[in-house]
Amino acid sequence: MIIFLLLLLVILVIIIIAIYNGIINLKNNVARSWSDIIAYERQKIKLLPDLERVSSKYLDHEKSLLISVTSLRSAIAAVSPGSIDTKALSDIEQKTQSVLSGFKAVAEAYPNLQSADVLRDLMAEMIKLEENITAAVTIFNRNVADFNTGIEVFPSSIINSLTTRLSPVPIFNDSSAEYNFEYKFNAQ
Amino acid sequence: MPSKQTITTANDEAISVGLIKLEAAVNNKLSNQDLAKLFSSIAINTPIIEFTNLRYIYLFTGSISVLIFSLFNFTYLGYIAVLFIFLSPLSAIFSISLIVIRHFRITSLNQKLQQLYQINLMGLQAEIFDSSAKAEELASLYYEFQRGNYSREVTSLHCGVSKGKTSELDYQLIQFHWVDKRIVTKHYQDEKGNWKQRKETVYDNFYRTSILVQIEFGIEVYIYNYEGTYRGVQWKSTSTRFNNIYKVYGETEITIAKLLKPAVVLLLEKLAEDFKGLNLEFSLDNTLLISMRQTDLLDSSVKLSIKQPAVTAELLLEKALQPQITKLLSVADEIGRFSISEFKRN
Repeated sequence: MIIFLLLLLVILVIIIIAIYNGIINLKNNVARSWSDIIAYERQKIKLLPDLERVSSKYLDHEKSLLISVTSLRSAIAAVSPGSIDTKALSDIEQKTQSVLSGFKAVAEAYPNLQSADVLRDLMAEMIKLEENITAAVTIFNRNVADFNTGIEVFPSSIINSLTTRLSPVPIFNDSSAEYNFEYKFNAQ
Repeated sequence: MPSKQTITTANDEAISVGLIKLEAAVNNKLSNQDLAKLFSSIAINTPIIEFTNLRYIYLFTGSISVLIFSLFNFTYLGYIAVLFIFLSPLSAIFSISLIVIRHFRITSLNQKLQQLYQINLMGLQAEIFDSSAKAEELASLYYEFQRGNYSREVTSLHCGVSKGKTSELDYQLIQFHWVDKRIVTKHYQDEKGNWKQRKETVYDNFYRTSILVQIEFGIEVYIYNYEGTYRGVQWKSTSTRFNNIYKVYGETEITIAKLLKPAVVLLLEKLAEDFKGLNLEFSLDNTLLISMRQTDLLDSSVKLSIKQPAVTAELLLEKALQPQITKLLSVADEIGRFSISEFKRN
């Protein structure tokens, strides 16, 4: 009888450890995918000086764009890969959209600039970054959904409340950024 | 509208002449335009290519009836019955064989025509090669072809060029067949009811298709859904779904991370929904090999049937979609678009 109870206890401990490790894995996945987003957001900062340099002659006439760029740069610098802040991310994405549309408007307003290969390449690079951020956010949202389910379902919810006491993470949902990434194959 | 044909021998002869012309055209790998012209000319004399087998069906039924009659009246008919019993099965076999041969002649030609039409659509050029030597050559370059402990061969190889978003892609479409030999132990009962065992050699045949694309950078990364042998540094994506589908190995983690950006990760997840047993091999010689279980990559949205030459002539001129190969080439192009700047900087 005692052996049976001991065996049961050992099995119970193994199950608890497995669930605990599962929760930690899910949490780390969320943290990793968040870091990915921040890493890609920070890459924008590297591109901004080049964009400004290429269109500097014209930016004197586009004061509002200059302000948007500065504002975007400081917003990106403020977010941390260590703490998940979806509101800040939403703010960055809105500012990015504004900067991108600003540069597009500049390119259209000054045809000479539009023909410049450098600006075209920089804009293409920026768009690629945006596509990667969109994809990274999709992965982040999936991981968040897995994590939230992982800590809310029984018996994980009990283990979570007794050990890690982690709270659900809000899913990133921003209408302006349109983060419903679904890859469509090109038509040949 | 094609008029309804009467059942005559002359009609069968016209169909045979038409089929000989078509077989020659398919073997000479004519272009889709030339094939369309040929079908139009055949349609004038032969609006429907379908043999009239009614006479042979009558012959078959008659022969079987004579055989049954002779068997039941053997005593009355005597030696004539022996003659009938000998001749009627021969006649039945002859008539049924002719029907089957005619059927397979048309279906086989139809398959070849469909394949040629699809190859022409993609502008592919067939390569002439030694199947085993080519397989060995590819095996020395790519892990994908290091399969088969008994034999391996390249069954077909076509070259083509595809226009991508950023650049033109030179590619090869490769059909690969390999055989694995294994010994299995089988248990059986002898006449006395004792259980015994014997060893049997089993040959397992496998078929896979690959597209080998020239890309603008050379790296060593292997992404396996189907079993692979390369083992370098293992890497895991932040996407659990991707990690459940693929195992990724490469020379360094940085190289893999640069290649497998989130957009590429989602792209490959999506690709795995359409293709089974998908493997991707990036090589230092600026190539990307995408391999899968499917063998119908060239399948098009248009299905040809030589039975109606006039309709076939019209269909041959259509620019039909080839969704499978188009998807793969599009993915290769997208991966190039996302990665080229990363690897060109180095």
